[in-house]
This record gives sequence, C-alpha cells and structure tokens, in this order.
Amino acid sequence: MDNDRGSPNARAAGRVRYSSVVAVIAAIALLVLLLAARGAWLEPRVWLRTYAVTALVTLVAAAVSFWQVSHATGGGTAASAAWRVLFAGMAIFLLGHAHLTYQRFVSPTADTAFPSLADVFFVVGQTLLIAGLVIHLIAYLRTGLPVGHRLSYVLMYVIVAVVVAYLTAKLNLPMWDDVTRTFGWKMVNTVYHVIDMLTLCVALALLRMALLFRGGALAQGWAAIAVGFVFMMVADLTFGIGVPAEYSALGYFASYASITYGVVRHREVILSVR
Amino acid sequence: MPFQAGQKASLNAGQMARDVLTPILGEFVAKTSVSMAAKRIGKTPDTLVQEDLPKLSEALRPALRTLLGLQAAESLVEQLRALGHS
Repeated sequence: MDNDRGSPNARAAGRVRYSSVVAVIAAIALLVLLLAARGAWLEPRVWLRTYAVTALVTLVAAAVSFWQVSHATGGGTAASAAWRVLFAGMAIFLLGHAHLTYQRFVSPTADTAFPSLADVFFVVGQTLLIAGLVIHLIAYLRTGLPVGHRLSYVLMYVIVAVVVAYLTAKLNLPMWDDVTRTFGWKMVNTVYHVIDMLTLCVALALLRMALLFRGGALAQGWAAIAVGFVFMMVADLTFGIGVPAEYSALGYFASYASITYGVVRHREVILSVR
Repeated sequence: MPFQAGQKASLNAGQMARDVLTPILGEFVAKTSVSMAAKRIGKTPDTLVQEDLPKLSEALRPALRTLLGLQAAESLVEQLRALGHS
C-alpha cells in the first residue's frame, strides 16, 4: 500500500501548480514594474496607473483565494471562521484599493488624496486581516501542537519592541508637532502606524510557527502569507517616511503577491489531501 | 520518508503515522503530533502497534481539522485508520 497518496507532491506530480503560475506571473510583473520605474520607461502617472491596476488584479486573486480556502476548509471550526474573517478583510481591503485606483485614473497626475475614503477601507480591512490571523494563531495554540521555544519568542518580541519604539519616536511622535499637517492626516497616519506594528507582531509569530512545519507542504503557504504581511508593514512604513511612491508601491505589490501565492498554495495542499 | 509495502512489518505504528503526516506537516510537527496523540491514548510513540492507529487517528483529528479543515482532516484520519486495518 502506498501511504504517500496524501502527499501534495505526489498529487501535483506531472502537472503545473496554480501557485507556481501565480509566483511566476507575480515575479515577472514585479520585475517589469521595477525596471519601468528605474528606467523611467513610462511617465510617472502612467506607471502609477499600471501599478494600480496590476495590484488590483492581484488583490482580486487574493480575495477569491481566501474565499476558496474558507470554502475548502468547511465550517464549524475556529480555523474555518478565521479564513472567513480573512476573506472579509481582504475583500474590504480590495475595495480600498479599487477606490485608490479610481482616484489615480481621474486625477490628471494620477495622485491620490490622503486621507480619503480608501483609507477607511484599508484600516477596516487590515484590522480584519489581523483579527483573522490572531484567530488562526489561537486555534493553533489550542491544538497543543508545538509552537517553538518560549525564549525564541521573547527574543523576537524584544527586538520588535525596540524597532517599534524607534519607529514611533523617529516617525510618529515628531509628526504631531508638524503644524502644516491637519489633525485628520496625523490621526490616520497614527492609526496606520498602530495597525502596522500589530501586523508585524502577528506576522512574525505566524512566520515562527510556519518554520516549525519546514519540510511539510503546509509551511509553504503559511510562510508566504506571513512574509506578505511583513512586506505590507514595510511598504506602509516606506510610504510614511516619504520614499518615492514607486518603491513603496512595489512593496505593496510584493505583499499582495506573496499573500496570494500563500493562500493559493494552502488551498492546493488542502485539496491534495482530500 | 514514505515506506514501501514490504517494509511495513519492520516499522512501528508511530513511524507509519509519521510517514503519512510528514509530507504535509513536516518532520518535526509530524513527530510531535504523533507523540502528543500517543500520549492521549496512554501510549508512547515507540509502544504504538498497528491496532492503535484508529485510536491514534481519532486523537489527531482535532489538530488536523484546525490545520487542514474538515474534509482534508477526515481524509488523513481515514488513511491512518486504514493503515491500522491493513
């Protein structure tokens, strides 16, 4: 009897995985956008619109994938509830990006307003995404499966606390003394800062746990999802410190692509076992 | 590493369960899961016998449901149970 029949690798043998296609397309898109930005192949407004549409398509794929995974995992467990919350978060986040894309097309210079309605969607969406990941982490902790050495978490979060304290002191607190900015602008920036720091904490815990699964198919999807959320935090950060829009945009795209790949891969693993 | 049909007699049931789980969970979590489930049924991984696999699969079910969802978890539980009856 062949007890390897549940192996995702065995099931995938001889055919191309959707997740591999997603990875290749995303890598090509990222490379083309990067080269176009560096080589100034396109006018800035055309580049920003191209990026906006590319990211929008990626987010649609991410939202659809979250829905498919929530469907594939069935119902009645905390994990399946977490996938639904993640889907809701991604769908709302997608609406924010759709609004931003609309702004880029109606503005002659492809600029976007900040803050705008899109930020409401982003904040609510990202909060739900964090909530979904936290529900996953709690569900995992309740299984009694290994989570890794406590000391590794202590060390990781000491480093995170130092980074958060530094970024808050360097970026967020001085902003409140800037008289040229409105209260709303400062408030939205601060909310993003808090959400980003929470995202970082949750994503790192997720990444730490995904590493425990190394060598197993489940690790691939979860590691990609966790890395995607770290990219999102980094992109928000670079946006906040005034890095050229093209580069923070590429960070967002890398984030969306990594999350999409991770969710698609996770679904493949689930389906390969069934 | 998956075992071949002729090798089964030389493998203990804990190893058989680990072989089913490793491609999905990785070696470390597969090993820990089997240890945890064995403990729940009053055994150690080394003392598991083939007849324990149905019980072991039941003990693994909640964790597998969390990790893989209902249908995939049931499929793995069935695979483990089938090993116990083969």
